[in-house]
Amino acid sequence: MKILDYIVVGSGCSGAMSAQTLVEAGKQVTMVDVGATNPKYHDMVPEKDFITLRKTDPEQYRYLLGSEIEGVSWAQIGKGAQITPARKHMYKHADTHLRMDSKNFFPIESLGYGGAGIGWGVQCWEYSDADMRMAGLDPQKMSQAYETVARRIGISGTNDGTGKYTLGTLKTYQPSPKMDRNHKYIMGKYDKHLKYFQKLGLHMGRTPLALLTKDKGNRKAYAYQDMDFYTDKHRSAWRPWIAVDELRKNNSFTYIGGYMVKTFKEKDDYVELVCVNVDTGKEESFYCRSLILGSGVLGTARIVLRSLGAKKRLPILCNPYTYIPCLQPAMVGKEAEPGKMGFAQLSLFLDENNDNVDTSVASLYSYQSLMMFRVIKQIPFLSFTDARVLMQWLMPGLVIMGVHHPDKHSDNKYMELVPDKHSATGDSLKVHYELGAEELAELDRREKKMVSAMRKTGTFALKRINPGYGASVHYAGTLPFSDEEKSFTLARNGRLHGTKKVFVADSSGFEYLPSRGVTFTLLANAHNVAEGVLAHGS
Amino acid sequence: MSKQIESIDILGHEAVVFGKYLLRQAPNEKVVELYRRAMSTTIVKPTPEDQKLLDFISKHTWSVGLIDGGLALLNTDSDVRRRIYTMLAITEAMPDYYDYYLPKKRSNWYLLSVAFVGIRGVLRTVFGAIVIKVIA
Repeated sequence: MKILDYIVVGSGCSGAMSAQTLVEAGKQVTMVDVGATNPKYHDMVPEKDFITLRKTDPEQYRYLLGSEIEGVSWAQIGKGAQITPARKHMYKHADTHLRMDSKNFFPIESLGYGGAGIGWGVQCWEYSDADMRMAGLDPQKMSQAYETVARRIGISGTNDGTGKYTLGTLKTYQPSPKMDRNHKYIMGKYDKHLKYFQKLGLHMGRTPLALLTKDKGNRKAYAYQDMDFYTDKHRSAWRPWIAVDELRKNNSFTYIGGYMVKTFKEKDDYVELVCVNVDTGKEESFYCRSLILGSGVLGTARIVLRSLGAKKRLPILCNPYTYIPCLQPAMVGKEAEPGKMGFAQLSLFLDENNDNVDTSVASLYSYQSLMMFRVIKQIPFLSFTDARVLMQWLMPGLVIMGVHHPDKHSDNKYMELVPDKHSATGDSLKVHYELGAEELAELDRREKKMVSAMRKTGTFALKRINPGYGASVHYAGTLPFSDEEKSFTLARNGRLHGTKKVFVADSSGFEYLPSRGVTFTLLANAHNVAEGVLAHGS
Repeated sequence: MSKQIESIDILGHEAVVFGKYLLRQAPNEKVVELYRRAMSTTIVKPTPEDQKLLDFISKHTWSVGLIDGGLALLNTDSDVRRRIYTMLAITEAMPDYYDYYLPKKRSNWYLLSVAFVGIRGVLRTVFGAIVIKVIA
């Protein structure tokens, strides 16, 4: 029986970042991961921009639709609408190994190499100090961690009037990428009506992104090819697998793929990790001195419930999310724009009390490279030929608002493990998530306010689409931080109470989930947890 | 084996009908092949109602636009619509037909064309709904 020093579970954002911190401290680290990949699409996309490819490449269907046309989904817009064939491996094994039993909660979980970070929108907002305190995080420690993470992954942003909502105290960042015509138009109108927006408590600024605008090591500056949903060729956008790929070049790091962690058992001086080989279905164990779980909030909850007592009911947090297609009449009838990008370019914050707490945020995207077929189904009462003519004319004016709201714990948001004979692990996660009438009314009020104000920017909402609970892909709060040694809670350094050497590096401990995307904060928290592990000693 | 060939031929015919409907020209061989591939890998057995409509379209190819429009009102999730939609996605990802999908610069007068398409679309939908009821 070989006892390893540190095992990190999962290659997603929290696993990759905590592993990097441990390796940089000179520790021997082993990552255990399922790590599904899809090499078929890796080098398929030619070195050209979206419009040129559309006009010239006879093989474009392979990466745009999939070789078997598997990227054409008849389902309505919902979870993972932007997941293209090249990123479909995100879901590989999920049906059998991450089974879910819920009537109203449809999360996105991944066993892919890089976890859910494969499809991350790379938005990197800092939480405000007040948000961090409500979440149970130490603002001072987090501020340093944000800086460390920003140096590692490379962030582009602009310290404009909304700096306190976007970059926060961050000092290390590159300039924002250039805006396309839709966003320039919105920003111009916003500046013109600045006082109106400020009076309503609305603030608009550039979205900080984990996207390079200057070369960084072997990663290249963003090339404005608008192929962000199809390829990571230039590695301009940071993905967790990029960090893991780099770690794998280091002798202190070992990557073990093909294993899904089922349970852990803590002994006197080591931890046994019981895993399922995803190909053979057989159980195998690994042993370590310290275990760091970075398997995503829901994945971590599964492991902890199986290990410490499956009958426990755990709370859950998830940002409510609404998808709002909008139209900019001024842009309708324009030709396709070269040099666009698929990432969010502007953020609109609703902060009615001007205290940077309990805000809602809308991310703004223009629509081009996801193609017409994904949205044409939304046109009511028209045949596809007539809808095509209409959409070709309207599409340059199509802007998508993705609105996230904060989330707090309540008795109507919980989950538990239930037996499931169809699952490779023998169980599935049963989630009950429901917003109260007051919460729903408040979200509705906020969205109406944002939608109404956006009209001043010449951007008109067509409808509000609720893709279902869980679609935000932001989960937290299952093992809340606690200063008491209570089961199913975490110490502030990420240690799982009731254990000595088991740590949780993802956002399971957050006691509150601010609206601003959790990923940058969970990266920073993962770094802090790894520092805590180091301080704790192997 | 002969059943398989027969089914592939039906799909090939369907591809040509839907392609002509969407593009006003016969689709190229690649499109037909991809349509066959897509339908073979994601086979959803049509309901008896949908099968009736598919048979009708196959015999009376002029009716595809009306039936598509009618279904946009009566049954948006119909398998007939799903098949036309799949063909639309395939043709969108073909360089021969980019002109049908990539946005083009239009003058303000184009609004008149859009209004015409809108009116035609509504008429198609209404008459299509009647045709579907009759076939049913």
